[in-house]
Amino acid sequence: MRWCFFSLLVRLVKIMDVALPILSNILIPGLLFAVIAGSFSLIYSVTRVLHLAHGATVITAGYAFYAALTLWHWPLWLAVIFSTAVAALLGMAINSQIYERMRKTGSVSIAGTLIATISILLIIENLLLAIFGSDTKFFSDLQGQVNTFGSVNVTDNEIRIMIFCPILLIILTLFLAKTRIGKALRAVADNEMVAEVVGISSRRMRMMAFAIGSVFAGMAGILFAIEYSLVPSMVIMATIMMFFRTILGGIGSIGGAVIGSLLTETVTALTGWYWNIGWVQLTSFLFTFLVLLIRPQGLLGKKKRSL
Amino acid sequence: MILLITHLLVLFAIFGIAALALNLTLGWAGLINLGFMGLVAIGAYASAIVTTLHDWPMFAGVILGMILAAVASLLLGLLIRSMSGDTLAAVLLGFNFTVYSVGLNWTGLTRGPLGIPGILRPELIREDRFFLVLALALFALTLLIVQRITKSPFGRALGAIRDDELHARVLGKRSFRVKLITYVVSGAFAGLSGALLAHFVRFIDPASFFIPQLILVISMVLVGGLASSKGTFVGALIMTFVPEIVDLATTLPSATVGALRAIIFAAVLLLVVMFRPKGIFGTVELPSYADRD
Amino acid sequence: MCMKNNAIWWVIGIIIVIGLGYLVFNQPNKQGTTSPQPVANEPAAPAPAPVADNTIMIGWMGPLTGDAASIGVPIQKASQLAVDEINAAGGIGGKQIKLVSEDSKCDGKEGSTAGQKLVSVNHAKFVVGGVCSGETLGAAPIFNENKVIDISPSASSPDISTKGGAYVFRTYPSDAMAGAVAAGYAMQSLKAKTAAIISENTDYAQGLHKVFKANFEAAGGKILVDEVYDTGTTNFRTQALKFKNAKVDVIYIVPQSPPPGVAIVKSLKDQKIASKIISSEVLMSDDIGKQNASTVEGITGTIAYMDDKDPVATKFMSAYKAKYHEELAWPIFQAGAYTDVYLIKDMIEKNGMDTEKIQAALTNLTGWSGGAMNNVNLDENGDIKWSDFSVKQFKAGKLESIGVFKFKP
Repeated sequence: MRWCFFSLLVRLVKIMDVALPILSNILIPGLLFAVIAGSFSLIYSVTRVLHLAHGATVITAGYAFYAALTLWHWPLWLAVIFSTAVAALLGMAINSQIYERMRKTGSVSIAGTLIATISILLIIENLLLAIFGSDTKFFSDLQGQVNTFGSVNVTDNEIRIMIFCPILLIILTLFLAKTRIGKALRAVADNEMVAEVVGISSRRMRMMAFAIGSVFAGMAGILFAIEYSLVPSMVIMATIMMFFRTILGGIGSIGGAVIGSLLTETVTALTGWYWNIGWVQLTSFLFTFLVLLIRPQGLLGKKKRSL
Repeated sequence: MILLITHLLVLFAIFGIAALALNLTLGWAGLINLGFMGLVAIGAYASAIVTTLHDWPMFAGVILGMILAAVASLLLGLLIRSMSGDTLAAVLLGFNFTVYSVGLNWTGLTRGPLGIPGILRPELIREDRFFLVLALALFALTLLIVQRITKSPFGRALGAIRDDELHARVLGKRSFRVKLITYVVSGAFAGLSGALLAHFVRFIDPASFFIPQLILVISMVLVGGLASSKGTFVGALIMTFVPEIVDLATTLPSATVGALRAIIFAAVLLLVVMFRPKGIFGTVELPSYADRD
Repeated sequence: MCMKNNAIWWVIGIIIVIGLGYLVFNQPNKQGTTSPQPVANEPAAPAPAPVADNTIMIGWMGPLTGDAASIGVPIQKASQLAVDEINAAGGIGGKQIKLVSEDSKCDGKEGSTAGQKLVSVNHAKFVVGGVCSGETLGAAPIFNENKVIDISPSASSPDISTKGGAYVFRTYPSDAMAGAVAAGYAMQSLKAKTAAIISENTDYAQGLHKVFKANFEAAGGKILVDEVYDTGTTNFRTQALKFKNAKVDVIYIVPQSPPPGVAIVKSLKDQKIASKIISSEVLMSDDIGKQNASTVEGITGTIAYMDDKDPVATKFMSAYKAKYHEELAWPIFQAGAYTDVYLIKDMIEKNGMDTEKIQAALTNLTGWSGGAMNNVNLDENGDIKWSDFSVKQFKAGKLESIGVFKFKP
């Protein structure tokens, strides 16, 4: 009996040796994308716009950070504030100049906004390409040194991600639950018409959603840039990844975004570990599709009335 | 200069075929098929692979490409039967990503990101201007066929289904069957376009059929106008030549030129979708799905 | 009413097509670099002379933007140096030469487009390039079809020997040798029994990957982990973890350009891996050592051996430094690019502009000296005959040679 138990313990420790690093592999991108997908979901639930250009906001914040820090040699705190501000302004500008205008001219349909947002995505990606060039921008110093915790080795930046992202998510949840604006946002998300009836300006709330969502995207963007470096083609990649993690969890649900991100990263990590890195993307797509086939509204999504 | 114009005209014809195919699903069937490029890619890769690696003649390769793309389109149509709204958009977009991903990873078949170089171009059409004749002829043929379809009773039924499916079904139109047939035809032409592109450019890789190209084809359809073949013709003409004209009129470092061209496409599309979503000759609005809670 | 509308458009369309047909078929065959008119009984026309009479166009193709530009740009400058020197000395047969450069971004598709442009638009009959194997292979069909002589100073994929075609030559050895040398170094000098490989999904990297694997396994070694990543990947955590877990003796990295290579090395070191790291030549530059000293410390790698004490080499390097005020980041590639221009000059002087004749002359070329190289010998595939490889190591940001290996076939 004792022998059995002992060998089991040894096996467990061995597994932990491998499992913990894999866990860190899941948490780092998972938490980062949880913030990105979560803010994307927030925007969608309040405005009903599939703001795919949100991915561009993330990377643009990264490039703004690069410009401020590496090109203009600003102090770190200023660069962070600058990048977040750029992200927020970008999100709000896109909303006011494009989506709101489309609402006015009556051309806001799913197809129309999708095409608009993809166009914006392309424009931003190419502007970044034209301005910054196609070579990869690194932030090696900010990645920090490596810290070892048993079998897990994480850089300073990775620790930052694992601490800040959950904090950001908690702040977001509390904000939506407890503050007046948060409740107003949720009201508009639930039922726009009724919200208007009780005096909430849905227009203002939409702008607020974009502002808040983009701020979170900006902060995630800075951490993202440090961890994964910057290259313009990441705009589309990051957007695709964000999109699939969101629909897995269910669009419009922040909790869904978190689960979707962590789950996808788990599939990714396990595929990469047991199989090969090349198949990782395809496997996570297929996994998402399978889930959608069974549950088209995503894991935590609300069921829609079908035609 | 003549060489450049010839080259552009070929691209105009090839993308024109793709745009007509897209217009069939988008304008007439009312399906926002964001996965369209995936079908084009299938046609292109099918033809490229069998002609380059298995020595099939180009003609056979192109036909195979059309058939495979049509089949893929059919399967896609069956898959999305019960989907609507955002899930539908996601799945269609996802189809494009999936084809891209498979192209990238199934290296045994497609050589992955290395792409397929040196694609066959028979001696007869080796020179651009002869290829142009072929391309224009096929474009004209496609235009003819699409016109016949859309002006026929079948086309009218399609329009009715697009505008108000419930009522169309009440009146006895077998909406699903009609839509499926449209998808198949659209898929076949998408495949044709892809195969022609492969044999013209002579090098394809998965990235040749992704978001920027999707935007290009969607622009052609939207700028010209949904549900209008002549609109698509004009749209294709505009989207092929305007960026080149801007290109030639300005002097920029070659690194930024590619970026500028992409920005122009996207900006034109954005403006059209914002201010004139019907396009120049269009009569129909972009499809909109009514179920929002 | 509907019918009339339609008919008008049809008429317009037909007029356009007819007009175009007229335009297209009636223009005189100016360019002549695509296949000649298909006339039934006449033999094919010989490769025609380039357009401008008093300038000889020499094309250049390589990455001028993107992650590989740090390799491409210095190489282009070396070619330009040769062109300037030749022009200053009177040109070729009294004619000045012009270097027309195309940015092929180290990508097969861009290589195909660049090659097409150089041939059809610039009417170049001679090209130096590509720098990367993918772009060279992408452009090769076009060069071969149009009988354009192409010499690459750095493309090393084994595929170029077989798939490059008759008109593609190179003055840098095939990775069939480099991979064998790296495997030999790992087995003999490092006494490695197990290895892990991580390579980028490109023509060059996969060619080298296959060779290393074949050689390592043939000598009795085992490859425990074999990862292939796509271009553009910046996060290598999972691979690093896998390698660490496998506890291999040696890790062989084959990036396509410096940035992912540095990122991989950093990930590996972050995980405190004990294995020795061997790199392909992509990281073997003093420039990289300077910028990433602590990261690349201790890394070894192979690169074709260049005797930088040789008088022709030193002459070239001083001329380069004098003109551009910078050290040579990739001495061997740059020497090759410089030499290739001189080789083309020599061929034109001996054979005129007849590229068919030059193709025959270059194949199995023996004992040619010029540019920055001595005793250049090309084999029947257009590959340079070469057998000496350096193994270098980064110490305090500088590359030091730790040995010269001879490749034995």
